Amino acid sequence: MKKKGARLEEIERLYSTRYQHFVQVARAVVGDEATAHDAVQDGFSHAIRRRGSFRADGPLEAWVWRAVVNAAISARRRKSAFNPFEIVPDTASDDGPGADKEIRAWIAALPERQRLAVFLRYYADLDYRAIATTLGIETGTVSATLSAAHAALRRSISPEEVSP
Amino acid sequence: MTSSEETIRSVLTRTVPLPPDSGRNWDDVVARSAATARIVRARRLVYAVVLAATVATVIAITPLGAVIARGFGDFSGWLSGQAGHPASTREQQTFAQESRHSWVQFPKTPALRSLITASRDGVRYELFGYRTGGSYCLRLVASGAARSRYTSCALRSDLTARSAPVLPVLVDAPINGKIAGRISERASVSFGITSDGVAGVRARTKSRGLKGIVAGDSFLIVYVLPRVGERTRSISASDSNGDVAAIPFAQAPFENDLGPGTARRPLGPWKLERFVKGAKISWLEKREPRGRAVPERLLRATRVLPLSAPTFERLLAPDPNGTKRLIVSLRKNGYVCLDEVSAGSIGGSCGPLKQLFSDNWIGAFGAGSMGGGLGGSQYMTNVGLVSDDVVRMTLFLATGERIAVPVKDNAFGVDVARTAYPIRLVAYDRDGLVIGINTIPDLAGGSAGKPAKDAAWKPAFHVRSPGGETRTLSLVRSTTGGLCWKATPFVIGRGSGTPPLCPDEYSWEYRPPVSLPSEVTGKSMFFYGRVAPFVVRVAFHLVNGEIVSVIPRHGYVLMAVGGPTKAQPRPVRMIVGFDKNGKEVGREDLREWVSLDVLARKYHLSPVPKGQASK
Repeated sequence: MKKKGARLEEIERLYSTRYQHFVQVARAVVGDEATAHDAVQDGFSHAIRRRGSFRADGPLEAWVWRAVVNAAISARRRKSAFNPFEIVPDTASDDGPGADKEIRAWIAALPERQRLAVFLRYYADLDYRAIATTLGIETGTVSATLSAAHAALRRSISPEEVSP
Repeated sequence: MTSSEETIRSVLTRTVPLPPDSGRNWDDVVARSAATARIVRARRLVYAVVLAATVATVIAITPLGAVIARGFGDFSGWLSGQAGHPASTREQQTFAQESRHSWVQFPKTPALRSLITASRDGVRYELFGYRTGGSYCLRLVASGAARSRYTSCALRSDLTARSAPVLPVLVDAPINGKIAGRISERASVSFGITSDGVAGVRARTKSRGLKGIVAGDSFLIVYVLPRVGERTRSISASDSNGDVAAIPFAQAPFENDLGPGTARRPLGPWKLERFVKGAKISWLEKREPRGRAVPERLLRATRVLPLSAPTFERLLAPDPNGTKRLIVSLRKNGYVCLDEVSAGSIGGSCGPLKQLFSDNWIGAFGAGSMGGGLGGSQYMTNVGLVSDDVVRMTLFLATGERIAVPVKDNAFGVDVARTAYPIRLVAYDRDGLVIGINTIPDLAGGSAGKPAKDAAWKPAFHVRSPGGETRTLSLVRSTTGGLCWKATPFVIGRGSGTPPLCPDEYSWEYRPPVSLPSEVTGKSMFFYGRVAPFVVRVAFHLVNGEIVSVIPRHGYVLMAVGGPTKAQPRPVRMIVGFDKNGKEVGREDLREWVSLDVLARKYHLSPVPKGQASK
């Protein structure tokens, strides 16, 4: 029988070990670090309150990621309607590789679900199954989404910067 | 990974780099979850009331909780640093000057806020507030016919999570001044923080009702010429609509009466997930210069006590952002001592270094933890040492909250609201496994019952000390089904005996089985009180090698020896408890015990309150 409910200690452990990655993804969604931190705090507090409803049919981390991503999306909606990824690059300087601008533009143009899949894959290092649980989609959809993302990337970046 | 994936990852990381870890705050997460839960409960209450009104149609029901929450506002005045108004330049300068001379120095003197100024019975009271680290502190200065100063702080986490509109920080603190040429208690004061919608605060003792002054998001209650031993029994707050809320607080202790217990159970893990063997503090054993050297003036203060000479001492800061400072010292006799440095005093405990981590159930802790703090303070300090195996600690409060405990250089220190006891300190290793648990009971212990009216006191023990003084320990059935006890003669002024106490029944799982309070007079030393129910014999090991055995009656014992002297300040070396199989089940080592009465005489200090006269 699958266990029901998550232990508070498990959630706290996740928070203490993965806090920076949660904030990183949340910041990619909302645009600034303060709001991102707030979203992570809200996401985890939601996870604490609802931990009794966690069913171990997927990894706990993915379940918590879902709470944090939802909190980040809500925070972004409260904040404004713009696409934050376009205004984030305060750290992406002009002296970075030439592909940066194109890739950021490409990510900004992605549909939200694909963009989140990219963030969870590359910021959080989640596997396809965990990403599927987080976004509430099938694993195959994640695979297709990321394949589409890579294809789009190949189309948008010049051949000398990305090997075929 | 393909190169396109690498490219995406590197661009993403350059665009949004990994943020610093410094923003991590689990307490805040827990507080948010608790706050939201309260809002949800309040909404449910409103829905329930609406439903009831719809069905009954004629009965108007006020959802008190929701109304109180709206009428009393919140603590935003304090949280935003806007409570009261800025203190005058002179007051700020005085504060800065005193801080510089204090044993606990702020990295930067906090901005002082003036909250309340009042005069009563020839005494001027000035209440100030300031913030330092995660604490909000109130500082009372009494001047004129009586002079006293108190500083007591509340934790930010308590303000953000609190559902009651008032947070008392100090209750029934004495203001001493001359009355008829003698130093006596001219008044007692209680003060604390209020939410911005509080219009009035009242307190009630056994015989009087007291109205507090409310200003600057704070309250101050002055009890002029209080009756001896009379303590605040209840505090309430009202808002401008006339709604009243009862305020939870911990009663100030008087003699051995520590007030009613909370009757709550400790929360958090109770089972070790890994047993640590060979636990140690490497840097301490190697005498590495961790922390800072102990300043000379602190060294002088620590050497007042006639303990074994120190061979190595360091000043530690468990939380570099906080003001808590601890002195850890190794002693010539193989003991390790841990002392907390507070604004006006230094206090702590010692134990053999080799036995620091010897108890399995507290495998990761050494020197345990200790309650500290002023009599009526609403907070207790818990400090201790942990072994190298501990990477983090969490404090579980009986109220359901959890606090991450700062640990640095194997030392920890955390203040806890007395209303949140019993508490459980849990230590985790690098794999997240529980390797240390220390449950600290509600120090009040409970005194909820009263002697039953139809029952008579029966003497259980009567002893005469070698100095010719007598004590009688008597028992009677209590109204709650347990026993009440008293030690007579009970004389308040002399600190002799105890008034009737009716402790609740409680689990002995985490209590020392033979930890007995002591009473020291000029000629005698008495040990009396309750031992664990499974203790059938208590052996007192005297310094002359003699062993005095006492058989508990109904779980209580009484024993007398000759009083401590300068030559022999520790008449009893050890108290050992045995179960029915003759197996040792508890041991109190008193070799480092110091008679405060002896110290008082030696150093010409003021008489020591009886409640502090035991270890």
